[in-house]
Amino acid sequence: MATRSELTAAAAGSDPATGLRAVRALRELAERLEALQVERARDQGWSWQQIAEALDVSRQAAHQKHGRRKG
Amino acid sequence: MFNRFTKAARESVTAAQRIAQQSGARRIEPAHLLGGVVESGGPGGDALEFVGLDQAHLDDGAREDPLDPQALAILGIDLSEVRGAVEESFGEGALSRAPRRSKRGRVPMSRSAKSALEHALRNATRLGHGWLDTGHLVLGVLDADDAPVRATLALADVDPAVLRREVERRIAAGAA
Repeated sequence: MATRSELTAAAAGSDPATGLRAVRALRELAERLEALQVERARDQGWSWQQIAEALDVSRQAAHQKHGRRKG
Repeated sequence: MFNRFTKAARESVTAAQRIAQQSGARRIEPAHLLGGVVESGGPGGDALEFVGLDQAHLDDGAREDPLDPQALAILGIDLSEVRGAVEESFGEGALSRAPRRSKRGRVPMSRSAKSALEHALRNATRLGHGWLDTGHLVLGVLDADDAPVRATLALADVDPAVLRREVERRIAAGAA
């Protein structure tokens, strides 16, 4: 198994396949955290406007992305 | 195409289908084919075992779920730690809630898996073999140059050139 430093070198280095895989995983993690936090914010009575401002997106974008989701 | 497959090669494709299904993938990918070869053995399976590529690496590479602990480790993120913190706040399994996927009966071959099979046939032809074994399958996957497979090999610390050499050696020994 490659060591952590070797992996880091691979991610920052010349192989886009490894680097892009890391980026994709990070994006997926961010998406899931966002869904959880938005859901909680709504449960606590936040408006879509407030959520949108916290995420630095438009109100429409926030609502479109999370508005139809429940549970 | 499949009539010249050896028993192990045929089993590899069947196993790849099953592995893809179980992992909830939409398509059979080249990494699933490698997983099938690992299960079915033959010269290809022996070579994969020799270079130390096992099902765990492949599961990781072929997995549809992109929340990928190895890839996050590259960035210095410990997914189990993040998961623990999130579950403390949101309850167990909170981070595992992936977008729902439809459970399909049969999973079709991806374009790159088809390309891997074509390359496998080409390798058999190039070597003058009238059959197609698991060794040819591995060569085909390598020739298809699939990005997830490349990443999986890199993360497992496997040099594709070394794997190729080990496969060719076993094919030659078997054909002699």
